[in-house]
Amino acid sequence: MRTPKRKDAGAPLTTSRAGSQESAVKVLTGCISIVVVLVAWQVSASSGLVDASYTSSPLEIVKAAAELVTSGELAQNLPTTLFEFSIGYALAVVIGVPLGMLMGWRLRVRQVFEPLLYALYVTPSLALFPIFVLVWGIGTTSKIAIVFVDVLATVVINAMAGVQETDARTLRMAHAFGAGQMAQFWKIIAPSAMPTTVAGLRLGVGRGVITVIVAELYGGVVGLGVMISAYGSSFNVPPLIVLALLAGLFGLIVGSLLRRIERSVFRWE
Amino acid sequence: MAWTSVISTVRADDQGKIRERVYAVVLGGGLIFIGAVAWQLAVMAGAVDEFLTSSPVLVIEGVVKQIVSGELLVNIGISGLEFIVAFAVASVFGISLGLLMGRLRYVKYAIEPYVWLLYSSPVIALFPLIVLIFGLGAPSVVFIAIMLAIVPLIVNAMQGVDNVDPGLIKVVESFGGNELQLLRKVVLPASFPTIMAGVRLGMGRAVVGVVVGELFAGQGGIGYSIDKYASELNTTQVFSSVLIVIVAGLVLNFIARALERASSGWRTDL
Repeated sequence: MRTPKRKDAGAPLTTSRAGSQESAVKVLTGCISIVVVLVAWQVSASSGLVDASYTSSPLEIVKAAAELVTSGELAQNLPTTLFEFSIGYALAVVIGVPLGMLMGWRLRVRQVFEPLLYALYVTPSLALFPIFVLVWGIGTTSKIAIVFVDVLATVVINAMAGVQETDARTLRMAHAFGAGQMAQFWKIIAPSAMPTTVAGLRLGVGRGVITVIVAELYGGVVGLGVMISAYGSSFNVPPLIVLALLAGLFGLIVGSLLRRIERSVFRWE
Repeated sequence: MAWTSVISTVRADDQGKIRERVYAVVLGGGLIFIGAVAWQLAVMAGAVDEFLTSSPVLVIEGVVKQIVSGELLVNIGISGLEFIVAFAVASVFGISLGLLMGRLRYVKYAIEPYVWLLYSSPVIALFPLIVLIFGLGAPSVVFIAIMLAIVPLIVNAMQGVDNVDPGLIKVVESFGGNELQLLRKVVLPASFPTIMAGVRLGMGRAVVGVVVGELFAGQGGIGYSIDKYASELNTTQVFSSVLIVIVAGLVLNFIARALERASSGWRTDL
């Protein structure tokens, strides 16, 4: 394999320019593709090529979005969904990160909780939601509980994996130089587990947002999912698509925000 | 290091391994056992309402009842068929699309935004629309499961191709190999383990799609029976059905991991 090496000899000079050019191509192609799809969608709907009552059209969706905002309907429902999501998510992080780190650090703790956690991880947690509704009703509490359960598994497993990835030699060295258990944890284990742990937090956001909305869709009083369910049962498609897109965009934005934070904080990785 | 010390460490390791396995079973099983006993005792002492919380004994009885009546077999048949169809369709389309995106960067740049949107949006939220198009029952459930399962299949196949040694590709190209030969001789073998990791993730998401899809749009299957029993306030059968889902999830995850392991073992032979 000598050829690639020779080719790479002159590469460093051009990589940064080539890289930015490539990412410009990427953004441009992505944008063109989105515009083409939107135009095709609009044309096929307004020309009657496909039944617009099923597929709606981009213009109708924009109109519906504006209506949802100006009528105050969104402002009425969004806070509840955000509240349920944030409380459930925060609880999962506050309990999940220490538990996961402890499980990664102490074998006995891991052995106690692993089977239960594993079962939770491979089960579609929304299957548990009917039980939560039976116990707590269709109000806010059952949604907080389902978000908590759904996010917890992801957070714990990533925190645990992060701790387990700690370099064993560094730990042995710290031990040899007389570092106590606490010092080892705070100075070596916790910092080196951070990137993987934060990646878990990011994955948890996406899962949590979807979970809270689907749970509201199953049964609820106020919230985005309840709106979706109402528009769905009256077959009012444009607002339905607006709300699904909104949820997707929220997950996408928070996710990429966390990824950016990740990158700037753990640049030394 | 002397030979004797090496041998003795190996033996100690073996013994330790056995001991660790015992610890794992006792400690992990212990928590579940204690939880179940506490639950049962709380019900028997009347501390919680049996109608609302059911009890471990009742749940096991419920599972047995579902087995004896044949309900379990029917449900697993329906859900299993939905799972297999959805997963097969998602695999074929997802992996082909991922390979295509990995080979042609313009296709990748054009399609990537939609893949991420699909990944982060709640597909199930569109179930009224999906039911309107496909009708209530299996076709809608299969569609939901495909949409959920296809994302990791696409992404992993794409990344697998991205990670193929460009030197190998150049060799095939310069010796006049065509795209099909390149795919069969280099791209597929080299990206196989990554693709299999995607298969495992996709299996998990297909299970979620089938169970949750049935909760909303099903006319049979395990997820549907959870919803049905919940609306009848039959807590025991809800728990029994959830227990069945958990066992099914564990079994499928075991299969998926075995597949993944087999594929990465095969890679080292390459």
